[in-house]
Amino acid sequence: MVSPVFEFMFEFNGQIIETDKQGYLKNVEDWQQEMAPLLAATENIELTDAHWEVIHFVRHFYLEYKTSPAIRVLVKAIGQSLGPDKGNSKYLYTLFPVGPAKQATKIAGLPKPAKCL
Amino acid sequence: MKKVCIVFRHSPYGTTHTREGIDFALLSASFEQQVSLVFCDEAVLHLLPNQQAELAGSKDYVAVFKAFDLYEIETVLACKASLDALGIDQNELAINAQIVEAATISAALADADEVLVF
Amino acid sequence: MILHHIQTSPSHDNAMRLCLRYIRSGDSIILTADAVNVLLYQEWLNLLTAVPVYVLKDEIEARGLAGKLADISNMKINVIDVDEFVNQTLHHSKVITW
Repeated sequence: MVSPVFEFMFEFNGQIIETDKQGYLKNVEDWQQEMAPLLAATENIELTDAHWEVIHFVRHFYLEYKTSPAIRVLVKAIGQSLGPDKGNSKYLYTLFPVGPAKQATKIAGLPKPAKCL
Repeated sequence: MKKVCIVFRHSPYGTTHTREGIDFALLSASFEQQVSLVFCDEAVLHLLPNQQAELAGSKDYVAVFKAFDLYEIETVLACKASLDALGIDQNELAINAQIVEAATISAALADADEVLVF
Repeated sequence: MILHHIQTSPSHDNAMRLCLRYIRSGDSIILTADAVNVLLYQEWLNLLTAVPVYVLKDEIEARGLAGKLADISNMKINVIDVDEFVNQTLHHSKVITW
């Protein structure tokens, strides 16, 4: 039996996980919690509880609205749910220095937000 | 900031017009344009509840309609004549669209800087 | 002052009907591609008597319809070339392509 070979992929618990060329999972359903630290490592991020809170938030956002939030929407949505201390770009950039929407969606196994070209 | 009015006029799932228009609307809103949406003809069917786009082989681009306020898309107009023609009642709609006469839509088209029809 | 641009035949698309629902006085219509067929239907001509209508010359001639157009008497059809089309887009406050 020949296992499928994709252009971009990694192996996780004996399973082939397909990604795009920037490392975003191709299939949202492939994601598991245990995968997050590995995906975070590719962004040089070590996950803390604060990171997890945002990761779970974007994951829920995606599952509810079927789209990855761009930064402006992410800030607003977090502000509404978790309060202004967390719903501001300064706080989110401290956690995800390269770009909160870009990095949190990647770690949460979601497609890249449309605005991040 | 420009006033961008996006008009949808095609039925759900038979074409990708509305999906493309919604992507465009969300992107425009992310770039801080003032976005308004108009649903007319069979595109008003997008406003009905309990849709399962995937069963028709489409990506679910309707789920995000509940998030329009997060995108600061405040003006969502639905054409009354189109709803009437399809026998759809105001209280059947899944999202909080304003049901308006043709004259209100004409005014929205005239007021916008750009109008795009999908 | 909107220029409404219709590109599809009324027999397979609702663009023309929808445009007429929302058109206001001062607006105009330009017909290109299969939308030129609008001018062959008496029912549509009856609806268009009060609206300035432009149509591209090449689209008419491509379809051999110049003679048919000459027979239209209840309204004024402005047959224009592409340069005039561009001119008209500049004279209107915006173009809506239905």
